[in-house]
Amino acid sequence: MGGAGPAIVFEDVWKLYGSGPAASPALRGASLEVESGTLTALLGPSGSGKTTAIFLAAGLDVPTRGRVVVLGWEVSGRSEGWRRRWRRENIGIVFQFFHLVPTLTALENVVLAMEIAGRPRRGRVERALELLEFVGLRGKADRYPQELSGGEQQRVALARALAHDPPLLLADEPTANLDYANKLRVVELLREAAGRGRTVVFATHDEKLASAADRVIRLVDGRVVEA
Amino acid sequence: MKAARAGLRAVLARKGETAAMAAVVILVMFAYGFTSLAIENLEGHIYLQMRESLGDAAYLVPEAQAGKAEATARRVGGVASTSTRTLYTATLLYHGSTLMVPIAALDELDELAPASALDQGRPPSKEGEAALYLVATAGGRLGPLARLAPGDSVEVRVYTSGGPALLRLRVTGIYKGYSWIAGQPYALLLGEVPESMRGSGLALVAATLEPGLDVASKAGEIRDALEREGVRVYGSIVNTPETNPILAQVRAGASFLSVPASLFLALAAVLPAAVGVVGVFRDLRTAAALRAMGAGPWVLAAYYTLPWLARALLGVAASTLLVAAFADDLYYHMMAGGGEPARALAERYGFHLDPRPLARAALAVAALSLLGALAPLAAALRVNLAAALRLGGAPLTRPPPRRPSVGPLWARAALRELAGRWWKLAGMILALSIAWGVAAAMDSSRSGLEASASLAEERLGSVVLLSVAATTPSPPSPACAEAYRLASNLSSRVLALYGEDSANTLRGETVSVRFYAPIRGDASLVFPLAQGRYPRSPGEAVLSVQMARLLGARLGGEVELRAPSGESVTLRIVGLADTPLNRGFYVLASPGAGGLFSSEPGASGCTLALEAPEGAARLLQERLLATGWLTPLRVETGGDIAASLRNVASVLLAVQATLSAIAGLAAGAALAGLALADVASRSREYAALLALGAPSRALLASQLVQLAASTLLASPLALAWARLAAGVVAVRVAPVVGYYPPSLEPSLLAGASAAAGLSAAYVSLAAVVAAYLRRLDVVGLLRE
Repeated sequence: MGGAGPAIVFEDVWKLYGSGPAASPALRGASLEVESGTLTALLGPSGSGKTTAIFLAAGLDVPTRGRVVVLGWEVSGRSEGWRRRWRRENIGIVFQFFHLVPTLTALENVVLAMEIAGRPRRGRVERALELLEFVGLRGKADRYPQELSGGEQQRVALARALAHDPPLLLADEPTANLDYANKLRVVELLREAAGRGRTVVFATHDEKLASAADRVIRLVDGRVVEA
Repeated sequence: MKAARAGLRAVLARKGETAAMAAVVILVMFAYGFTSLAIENLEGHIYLQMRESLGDAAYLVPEAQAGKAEATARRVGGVASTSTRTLYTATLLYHGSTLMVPIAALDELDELAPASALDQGRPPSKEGEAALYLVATAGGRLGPLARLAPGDSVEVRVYTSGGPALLRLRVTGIYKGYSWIAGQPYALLLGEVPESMRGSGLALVAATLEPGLDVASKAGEIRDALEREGVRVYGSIVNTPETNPILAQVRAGASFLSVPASLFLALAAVLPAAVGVVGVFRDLRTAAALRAMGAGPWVLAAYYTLPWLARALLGVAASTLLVAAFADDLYYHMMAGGGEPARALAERYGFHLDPRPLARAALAVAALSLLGALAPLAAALRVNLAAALRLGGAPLTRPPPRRPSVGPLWARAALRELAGRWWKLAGMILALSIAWGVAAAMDSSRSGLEASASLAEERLGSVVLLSVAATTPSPPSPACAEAYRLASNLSSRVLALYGEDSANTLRGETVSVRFYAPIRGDASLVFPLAQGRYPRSPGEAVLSVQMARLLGARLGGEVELRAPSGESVTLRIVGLADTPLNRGFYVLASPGAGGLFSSEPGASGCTLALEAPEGAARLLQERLLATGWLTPLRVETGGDIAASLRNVASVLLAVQATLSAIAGLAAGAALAGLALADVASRSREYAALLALGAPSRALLASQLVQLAASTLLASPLALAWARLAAGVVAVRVAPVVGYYPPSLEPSLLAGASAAAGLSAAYVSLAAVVAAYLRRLDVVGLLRE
C-alpha cells in the first residue's frame, strides 16, 4: 500500500543465486532506508550487491528472505504481473548497458516509455523533446542508438527513464561505461532529476561520483557497512 | 586448440542439441542407408534368381519344339550350357477377372521355387486337388489369389490335346517361398500335370554364355539361329542388369522410396543452421569477445562449427551400427515374411552389406551438416564486435532508413527490423522456397497424371482395350491375327497391336519404355497424331508426346533407344502422338519392325483396341475364351485407364504429402531458427523493455507483425525461386512416375496446402516465441 515515509526500506534482505551448497549470496541480511526526494548513492566494489539491491528495489527480482518495501508498497512476495504493472507506474530504470531499442530513434525510445506506461497520446512527443532538451540531446532526437556515443545513449536512457515521470528513479552503474566528462554530466542530471522532488538511487563503485549524492550507502560483500 | 576443446565440450554440455542432432542423423541415415541397401539387394536377388532359371538369355518356344530349340541353342558358339523347363498355364476366372495362373507338378516346386515350405494345410494327394503357391513378400499378400484358403474351390480352364477343358480344383494347402513363378506371384501345384496337357505347353529354353561375351548380340544370334531352324520364338529375355525390363520396373517402383529418403538427408543441414544461429545470438558477446581477442575463422569454426560436425559424426556412427545390425533381418522379413522362406533367402543369396551407400550417406550427412554449421560461423563472423560489446546485444546490420512512419512504436520497431537485419528476410525466402518448391514439383507431377487421366477419358470415350494371351502355341495360328479376326466381326474400327517393354535410361533414370508395333488396323484409335505421320519403315517411329517432351526430341530428329530385343537402335521421329494410355513412354514402330522385339510380334499375345458398342466387349471376351487357347486378360476403357491413373495419382499424393511434410519440417525448422535467432539477438532489448513494464504480449505482437510483414515481402521472391526449382525437380520426378511434367500452374490444392502449412508453422512459431519470452531471464540478461 502506497503512502508517505521512506522511499525504500530493506529489512534483513537476503538474496541467494543458485541453490544448495553452490548457492552464492549476493545480499546477506542487508537493511537500509532511503529517504524520499533524495539522491542516494549505493557505493561498493564489484560483487558487493549493488545491482542486486537496485533490481530488488525495482521489483525485477524478489529476495530469498527479508522484506522490501518501496514507495510504501511491499514488493517482496508479489507476483511478477503485479510487480510489472507497479513498476510501469512508479519506477524509472537506467541500465549499465543502456539497452535502448536499436530500431527506434532517440525520440521514439523516450516516447516508447510513455506508450508502455499508458500515458495519453497527446503531448507524448512534446514531453519527449523536453526530456531530450533536459539531457542535452534535442538536436539528436532522430538519431538511432548506434549513431550516438555511449554517453549520449546513456543520456537518452535517462530521458527514457524519466519519461513517465516516476516517483523513484533507479540507476544501475549508469556511468560505468562512460568517460569522465560524461560521468559527471550523468550524475549532474541525476541530481537535477532528484531536485524535482523525485527519489533517485544510483549504484556506483566510484567514491568521487558517490560524493555528489545527498547520502551514500556503502555495501561490502552483500552487507550494508555504512548508511 | 583451446577453442576446439571448448567446442567439443559443448557436445557433452549441450545434451539436448547433441541428442537432437544425433537422432535426426540416425533417422535420415537409416532411412537412406536401409532403402538403398534393400533396393540394391533386391535388384541383385532378382537378377541372380532370373539368371539361375533363365541363364543369360531365354526363349519361349512351343513345348513340341523344345528339344530342337535346345539343341540349336547349344550349337551356337559361346553358349556354355542350356536347359529347358516346361510351363503350363491355366485361365482362372476369379471374382470377375481373368487371371493367367502357372500350373506345375508339386515335385517341380523345388526347381521352380527353391526352399518353398508348406505354410498351411496339406499337399494335394489326388486328382481334383491343388496347392496354392504364394510369394512370401509383403506377408504373402501380393495378387488376388492371396485371399484363397485351404478348402476353397476354383475352376480353371486349360488347353489339352483334346481341346479346351475345365478343371475344378479344391485347394488343400498353401506353400510359400521367395521366388516368383513364370513372372507371377502365385501358381497352382497339382499332384501331377494331366497327361492330356502334355505337348500343349510352352517351353523355356535357357542359355548360359561363356564369360566375357556381349550378351545382347549373342542373344540375337541365338534367336536368329532358332528362327532359321523353324523354331517359333514366342518371347525372349536378355538377362543383364542393364537390359532386364523387370529390374527397370523394380527400380522405378523403388524410386517412390529412394527419392524421399534422399531428400530426407537435407534435414542434416537444417538443424545445425537453425539451432546454431540461435546459439550464436543467444550468447552474442562470446562471439564478439572471441573476435575481439583476435580469433579468426578457424578458431570460431572450432567453437561454432566443430560441435555440430562432431554431433553429426556421432549420429553417423550410431546409424551405421544400426544398419549393420538390423538391415539384413529387416530385409529378409520384408521380402520373405520371416520364417523358413526368409531363412532360405538368407542362405541362398545372403545380404550384401555394401559399404558404398552408407559411405555416400555418411559423406552427404557430414557435408550437409558442415554446410548447415557454416551458418552459425557466418553469423559469428558477421557480428559487429565493437557494436555488440558496446550495445550488449546484436547490432543492426545497417541502420534502417530514416523515413517518417506512423502507427504504434511496436509495429514501427518490428518493420524497421526487417530493413536493419536483412539476413532474416533472405533466410525466410530460402525456407519458403524449399517448402513451396518441393510441394510445387510434386503437385506438378501429380497434376501431370490428372492431365493424362483426362486425356484418356476424352480420347478413349467409346474405345475398349483388351489384352489377349495365348495359353498354348497350338493351334499354330498367330494370336494377334486370330484376335483381330474375332474383334473385326464385332466392330468396324479395330487395332491389333503388339507391345514389349525395354529398360532405357532417360534423363539419368532407368525406366521402362513400351515399344508397340501395329499388326493390323487403325493406329489412330490409340495413337492419335499430334504431328507428322505414322512410321512406314523399321527405322522410323512415332513417340508419345510425353516422352518427346521429356527427351526434348523433335519431329524429324533421331532418338537412340534400347529396343526390347536388347539391341541399341536409332529411330527417326516421323510423328508425335498424344497417347491416352496409362504410361508415359511409348514408341510406335512400323508394322514391319519385328526386329525391334524379342519375339515374333503377335504370335503369343496381343492388345486389341476397338470402338465397341455396349456389350460388344463382353461378347468378344466370350468368343476369345471359346477358342480354348486365347485368353482375354484385361479389359480396359478410357474410364478404367483414367481410374488407374488417378489411383497412381493418389499414391503420388501420399508421396507428395510425405515429401511436402519433410520440406515443411525443414522449412519450419529454418523459420523457427530464424524467429528464435531474432528473439535471442534481441533478448537484452526485450529484457530491458520487460523491466520498464512492457507486457510480454506486446513483444509477441511485435514479433508476429515482423513475421507477417517479412512473409509478405519474402513470398514473391520465394514463389519465383520455388517455381524455378520445382521445374527442375519435376523433370527428375517425371521418369519415376512415367509421365511428363505439365506446366507449373499453381493448383487450389497446392495453394491451400501452402497456406495451411504456413498458418500451422506460424501458430507453432508464435507458441515457441511466447514460451521463449516467458522464460526470458530478465535479471540475468540485465546483469550481464
